[in-house]
Amino acid sequence: MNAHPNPANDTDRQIDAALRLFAQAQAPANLQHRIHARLHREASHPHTNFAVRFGGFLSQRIVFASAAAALGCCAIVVGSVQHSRQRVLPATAVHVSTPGSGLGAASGARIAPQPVPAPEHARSRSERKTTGGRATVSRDSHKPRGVAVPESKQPEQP
Amino acid sequence: MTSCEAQAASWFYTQPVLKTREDVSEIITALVAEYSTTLYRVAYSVTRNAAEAEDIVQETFLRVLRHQNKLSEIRDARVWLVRIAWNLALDRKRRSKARPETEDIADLVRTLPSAERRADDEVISSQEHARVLALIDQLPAKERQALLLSALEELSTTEIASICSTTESSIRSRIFRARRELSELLTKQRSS
Repeated sequence: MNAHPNPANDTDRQIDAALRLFAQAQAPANLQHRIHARLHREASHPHTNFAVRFGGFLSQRIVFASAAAALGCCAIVVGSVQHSRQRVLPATAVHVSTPGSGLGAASGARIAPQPVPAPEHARSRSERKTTGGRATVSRDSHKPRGVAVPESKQPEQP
Repeated sequence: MTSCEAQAASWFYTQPVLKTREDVSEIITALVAEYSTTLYRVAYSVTRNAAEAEDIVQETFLRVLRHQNKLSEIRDARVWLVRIAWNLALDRKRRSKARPETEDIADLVRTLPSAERRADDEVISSQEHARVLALIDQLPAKERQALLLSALEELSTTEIASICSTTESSIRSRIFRARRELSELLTKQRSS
């Protein structure tokens, strides 16, 4: 007997033995008889077993899927409407003219727009920052910080 | 198989149109007689449970009964039936993941007639079989299918290729890869 069997052969042997279990599996006794009995049973009640059961199942699935789709659409519409109601449009400059005064638009009083407060239960939006009716952007707000370079000296005269 | 069933089977392959209900009945009878054991083995190789394998075989023939109008279009009944049984078995296995199958394997090893077992098998315990089968489950699906179907002597490489909808050379390489990976896994498991 070989004291040091080849591991590759050993694993192959194990695999073959395991696979042979399936190749040699014996069907239980009277399997064919039971198959015929079941086929006969199904064939004698074709409508109750096939059409009704599977047709009913299919129609149930279709109804359920349609209802779910309709519910989803309603949720989208309601959500969209509610969201649009929560939005507050920013006040624009209002031109107040006195009727009958004969003055044109240039002399009309102009009310500067006020900052719009953000609603409490809404999604965050950007805030308008105004100073005297105009948006304020600092001069160097978007510029990258530069590198300090020492001033060059004048070349020495010979 | 009886001569009557053989006659019915020959009608199945040559007769393009099935005329009466008796024809269909005879053909299905012939199919049951010829392929029930093969289908049982196919189903058992996936589920590893005798009751479920039998149920899958019955369900396969029920599918045949339901699609009896397509019987005349089927060119290779064995390939068609094995494909149905394989898909049913995969569905069944997905649904019953929790069920232990080691006991069924141990039962099978015990109940196999000794004449069918080789001397090698005697020294390999049912636990080792179960370990190999668990490793087979870890293989990629395509390799696993090729390996398990190749274990059945009734199926040629050409038929396995038809069942898997691929070429023979692809099947051979899948089997080779499956065995190599399985061997590596076994070696790794043994060394650890």
